[in-house]
Amino acid sequence: MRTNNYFSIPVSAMVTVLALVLFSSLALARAKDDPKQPDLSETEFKKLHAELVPSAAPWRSIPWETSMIEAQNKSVQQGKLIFIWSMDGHPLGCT
Amino acid sequence: MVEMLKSDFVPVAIDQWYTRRQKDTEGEFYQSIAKQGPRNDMQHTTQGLYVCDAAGKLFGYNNNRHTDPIKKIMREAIESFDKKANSKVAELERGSPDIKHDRTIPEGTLVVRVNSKILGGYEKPDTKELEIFQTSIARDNLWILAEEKQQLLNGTFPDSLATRIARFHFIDNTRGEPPMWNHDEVKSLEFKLDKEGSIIGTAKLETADGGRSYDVAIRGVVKSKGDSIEQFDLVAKGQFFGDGPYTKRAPKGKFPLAIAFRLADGSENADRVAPQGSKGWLPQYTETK
Repeated sequence: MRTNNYFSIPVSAMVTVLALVLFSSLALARAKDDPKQPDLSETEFKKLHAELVPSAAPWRSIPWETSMIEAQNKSVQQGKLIFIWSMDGHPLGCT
Repeated sequence: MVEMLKSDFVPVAIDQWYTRRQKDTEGEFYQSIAKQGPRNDMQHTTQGLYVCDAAGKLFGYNNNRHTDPIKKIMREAIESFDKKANSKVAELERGSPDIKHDRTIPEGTLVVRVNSKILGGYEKPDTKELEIFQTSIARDNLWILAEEKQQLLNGTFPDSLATRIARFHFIDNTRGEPPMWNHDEVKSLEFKLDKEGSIIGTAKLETADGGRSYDVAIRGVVKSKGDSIEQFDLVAKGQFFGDGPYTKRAPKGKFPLAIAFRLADGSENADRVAPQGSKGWLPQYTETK
């Protein structure tokens, strides 16, 4: 078996190690540059999760019913008019 | 206006796409009101703001972003409102719901609040209104069905849940009603749940013509106690491209879109709103196989 004179390590083993190091470096570089491999760190996860909460806009303090029948029943019981916010997409659920 | 709504009105918010079609008491009551207004063709949108009484008598309609016209309608309605007559109106009973349009939350379902935001890429807005629009946080709900909840409790992330999240919640709903993803537009999808409850994953979605895409990384955590899911936090972030017929004016090119998920506590009536993705897609939305 041929060996390296300085470290007494088989050349074939050195070649294997070098190949592994080279392959790992290339793989890491590709992971950084390749937009096809998205990543999300734990820190960014926590930050975004905390940030993505709707603001306390005044309209959110209104006790919106989500059923016309419940609204009609409450109108009778409470002596109040009905105000209908009618949209394409639910006003409370879509945007 | 907010105070007036709280003190003198029963406010109700609906997606009229359902209600103007519903063949049940809920739909009939709404349609009887809408038909008195200018948008009285139930084959087309009837969206707007309506003021009526319990008998369904319309006092006024408006569909303007400015609040003055509707405030005027509200004040005039209060002045002419006959409370005594209103109290004698029979309360409507739900009866049998129109199953085609009914979106009652299935038994045992966990509701998860979903919020999304575009993190950059817009050109500088020229109006305050546009700026608000571009920085807004959109809302939706995700349903985790009973058998999927059980799988989560058993330490498995259900394939059906991963697919539902990708197809119906990895969307850009920040400017209106967005298009969803077809099965064949899910190019890759991976959710890994480990023994500690950590979730990591990736997804790649793209239409056949390349006109819309989302390439996204996923991270989250699921915690349970006994037979209850105590925490379901998830964030997806990636590069989105394109828009839909009702979500025009997206940023040019690819832009960063983040979507966050957290369990609803039922404290808001909005928690009862059906997922946007179930609109016209309920059988597909609730697929568990």
